[in-house]
Amino acid sequence: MRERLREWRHLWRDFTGESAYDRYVERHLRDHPDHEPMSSRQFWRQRADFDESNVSTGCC
Amino acid sequence: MQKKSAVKPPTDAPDVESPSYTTDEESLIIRNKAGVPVGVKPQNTWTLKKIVLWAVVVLLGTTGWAILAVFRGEEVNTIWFVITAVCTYAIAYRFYALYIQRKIMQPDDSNATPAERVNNGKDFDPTQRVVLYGHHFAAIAGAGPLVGPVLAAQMGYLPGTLWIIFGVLVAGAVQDMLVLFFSMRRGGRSLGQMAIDEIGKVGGTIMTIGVFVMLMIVLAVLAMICVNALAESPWGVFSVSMTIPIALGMGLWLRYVQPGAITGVSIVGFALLIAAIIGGRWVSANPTLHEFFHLSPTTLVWAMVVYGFLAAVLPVWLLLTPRDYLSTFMKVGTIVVLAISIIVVRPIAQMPAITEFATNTDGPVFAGTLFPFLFITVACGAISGMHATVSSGTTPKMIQKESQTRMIGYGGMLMESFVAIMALAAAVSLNQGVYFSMNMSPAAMAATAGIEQIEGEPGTEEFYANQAEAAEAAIANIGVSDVHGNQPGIEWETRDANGNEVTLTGGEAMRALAEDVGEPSVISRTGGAPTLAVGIANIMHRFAGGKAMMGFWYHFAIMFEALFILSAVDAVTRVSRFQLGDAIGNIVPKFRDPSWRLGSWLTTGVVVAAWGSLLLMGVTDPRGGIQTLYPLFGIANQLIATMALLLCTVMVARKGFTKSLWIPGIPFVWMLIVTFAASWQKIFSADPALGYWTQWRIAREAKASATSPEDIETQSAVIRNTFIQGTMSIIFVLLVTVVVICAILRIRKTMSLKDTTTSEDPYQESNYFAPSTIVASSLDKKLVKEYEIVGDPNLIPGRGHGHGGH
Repeated sequence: MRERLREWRHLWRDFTGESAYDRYVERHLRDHPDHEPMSSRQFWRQRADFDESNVSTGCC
Repeated sequence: MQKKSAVKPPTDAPDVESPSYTTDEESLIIRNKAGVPVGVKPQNTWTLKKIVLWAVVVLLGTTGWAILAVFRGEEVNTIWFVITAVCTYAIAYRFYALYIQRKIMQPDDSNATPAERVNNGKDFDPTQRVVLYGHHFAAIAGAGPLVGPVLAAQMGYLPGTLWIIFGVLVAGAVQDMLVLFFSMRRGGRSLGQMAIDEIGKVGGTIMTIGVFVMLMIVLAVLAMICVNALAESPWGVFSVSMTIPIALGMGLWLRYVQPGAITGVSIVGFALLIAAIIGGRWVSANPTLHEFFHLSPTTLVWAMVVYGFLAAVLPVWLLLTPRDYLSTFMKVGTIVVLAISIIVVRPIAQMPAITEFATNTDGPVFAGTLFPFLFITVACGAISGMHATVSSGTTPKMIQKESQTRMIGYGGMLMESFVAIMALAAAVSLNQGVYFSMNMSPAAMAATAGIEQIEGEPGTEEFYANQAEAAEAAIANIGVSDVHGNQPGIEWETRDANGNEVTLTGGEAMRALAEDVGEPSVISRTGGAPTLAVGIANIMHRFAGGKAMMGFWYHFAIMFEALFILSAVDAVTRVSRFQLGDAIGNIVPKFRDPSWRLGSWLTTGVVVAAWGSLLLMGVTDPRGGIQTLYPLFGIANQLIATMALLLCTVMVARKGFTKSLWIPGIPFVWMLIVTFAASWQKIFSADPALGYWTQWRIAREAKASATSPEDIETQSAVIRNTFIQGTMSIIFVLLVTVVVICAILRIRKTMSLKDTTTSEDPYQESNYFAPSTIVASSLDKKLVKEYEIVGDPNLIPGRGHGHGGH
């Protein structure tokens, strides 16, 4: 039961994009253990800058 | 935070053991050279359980079709729409989509997808299949599948149902799936880029220009639906305008206070949104505020234009991103509400299977006979060209495994079609008199009622009384019959002052209905959105809240449509602005620089002016904007689909699968016939209800003999509008004709040279495992477990070993 709840929480966080920072940190620590990852504020700023030129259109 | 995870090597954990497989299982596993599992071979053994299950599905589906199409009793329960649709979808998904997968796509799970190859944690991001399904569905579904079926209900429930279900199976879902697959094999390239690669520079460029122009008309019509739903509705205007400060607040909070707290902020935003919907009732009842939020259609157009410009030039984090969160919440909410209304309440259909308007051109909602106009009116839900841009945009860059394409592409479109079926069911469960009173333009209503015009100043009590009277007279004259073959009447069940249930008829019923949903009037609320909102409110109040909640449910549905249309308006404006900047950049390179403020303002201005002028034209059109502009919207949207299917056909030919050309070829030819037949009628028909140029000629004659300045002004507007609409129809057809000729030449060249050189990215061995069906099999689960041990942790973020949680 708890396992299932955790799985659902994961899916939800992936769906909203909320998990992006945790995933970034996890990967950063693995790939570049020599320097600190960005702070969560910096990370979301950078993501917003990326979205600025990467707008996806919805549909009808 | 989970910093420990990086230090601890995965193999440390004592409880981790690689799963063991039986010999049978092992023989199904596809492994790469390093021995890492990358896929499972397709297995299709028929067990007794499966055979029984499919037999039940087939039986139920057949029963459903028999009830809807053959017996057509006087009392058809709308639950049959749902059962029939779901069974038919299941059969098509299991058999036809799989057939296409084997014949054309031939997915290879040992080949890495763009998401695995690039995996940059941004746009190229391998995304869990259920999450991606949600993303893809959220991107393709919007106001479209809810509006088209409502308008098509004037022909009865059957034509719309048949087209929505069979259209999606052979056309819409096939298009989405193939475009997604082809784009995925090409690093997620866009439709326009693929067209240039596959059809050639000339054809591809013309296609890109065509899509751009068509998008402007699509936006204008979407915006018009929104304006029609909000005009002279203080409650609606208030609650929808509150979304702007709510979104701004969310954006600022996420930027400066709690970056990344998306769920929490969205829940608060959504709660505020609901508060705004509830608060609208109070605003509407307050005389001063009522006056303030009571806006004319023209004022709303200008508000929309200003808003569209600002939203497209402001930073995305401030307005666009937070509003997308809200609109996703609302989308889920509306679909759940719709599903509850149909599945739990199960209303009876009030509309006959087929009405007179299927075979004549007198239909007040939109003019035109079943062929070809049904097929351009119901676009999203059956097939929509806009989906091709999503399927060749974000989704192909996020897909984990090639074999997931069927589930995401075909399955995502089936879900949209299902939403359209539910919208249709909600619309046909409304009383026929109510449906037609809501969907006749004022001009059509006056003409049908046999009066010159509806007297009085819009917004006054006198006007509303006259309008209700006109509606009653119009329904008494309208050339349509009800389920018993009699002239329909307006009927509405409500409660009187003492709380007793009463059934009102005629104009009185329309006034009571307006009061129940908290609007000054619901007559001539064209565009589909208000009709659906009344349909939903009418069903939902039986489920929750009773009559007192009707206003809430109505405005909840309106809010969804408006919110979604606003999102589409500024997202498409933004994208079009980039495209335009790129195009002008070929001549003036400075326009390519996205950080050049003046340049982006200029291009945004051009884009906003393009759809804004069309919107203004539609809203002020004396004959009713939906009636005149909706066909052009349908044709444009379906022409994009035609070109996407054409591109698929060319790509299948270039792969050398000549025998399977019919799979995208048949829907392509059908869409070509439909769009060209509709365009032909819009350009050449001598029927003044249809032909733009006939209308133009008649208006010119009328203007010459008109005497009053009002008449002259009206006729001038008709002359101007029909000229623009007629010209656009011609341009669309010409553009598509050139693309089709280029494509056919390309197919011929390919076939004669037997040249199957491909623009696909070269094969790259995959090192990634993920299940390909929604529900993972036991073997899938074991493989996922093994992959978490032996695989690349960057491909399973948060799920591999050392996951700390928090």
